[in-house]
Amino acid sequence: MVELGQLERRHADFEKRQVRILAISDDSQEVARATQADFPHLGIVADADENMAKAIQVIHHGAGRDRADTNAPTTFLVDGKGTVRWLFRPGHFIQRLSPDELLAAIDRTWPPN
Amino acid sequence: MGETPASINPVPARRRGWPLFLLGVLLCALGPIVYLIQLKMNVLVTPWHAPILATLGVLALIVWIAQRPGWLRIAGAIPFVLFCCFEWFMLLVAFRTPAYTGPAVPEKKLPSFATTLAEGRSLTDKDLANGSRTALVFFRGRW
Repeated sequence: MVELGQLERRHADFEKRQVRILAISDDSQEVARATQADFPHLGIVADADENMAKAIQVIHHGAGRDRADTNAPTTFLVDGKGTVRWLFRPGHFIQRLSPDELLAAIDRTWPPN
Repeated sequence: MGETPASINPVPARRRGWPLFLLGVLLCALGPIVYLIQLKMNVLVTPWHAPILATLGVLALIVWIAQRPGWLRIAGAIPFVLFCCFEWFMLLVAFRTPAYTGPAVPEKKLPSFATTLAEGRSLTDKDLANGSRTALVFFRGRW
């Protein structure tokens, strides 16, 4: 959630680069709505059935609360045609991209004119 | 010639080694303290400093034991050795994420999927091919 707070605070920098942020977890719809209320400039996805996580294969088996499956923290940059342009997964789940690191990756992927 | 008073040739005091012990304990404790400060500052990087500081602390304790070997000193050092091993285990094993081996790699299209936004609308892979750039951030949820 710290990561989402950081992205929320820097949302203007992402809007300037015309990049929308979708944050995906396996939270229920109810919990996801609360998250959306906390971070109104992010798009929050309630992937409770893990359909998206399974399709993209980001499930980290047994790493969640009570040894349940959860998402391995992973960030993808996707262009307007649905093609992946960049991805990042930290070596440890306690590590996250900072907003500056994500913005730098966006600028490398789509250099500003 | 009388006997030399003992006070003229005193027996040298044995080094107690408390500073070295305290240094070892402090180094072991410093890692978690720095990590807590790091979390408070919302700096989300892997705290390699913690097991490294604990290792230096254990080395100080080993020197402390070597100065005056004894079971009491060994027993005093064991908790810190275990703590150091615990920190290395957490960073080298428990906290590791597997490398990504899925289909969503650079220059490939996202695989098909259908899920739901928080507001209730559906979201599919086609919505991510509508001309907008997107950063997909998978996170572990609201615990």
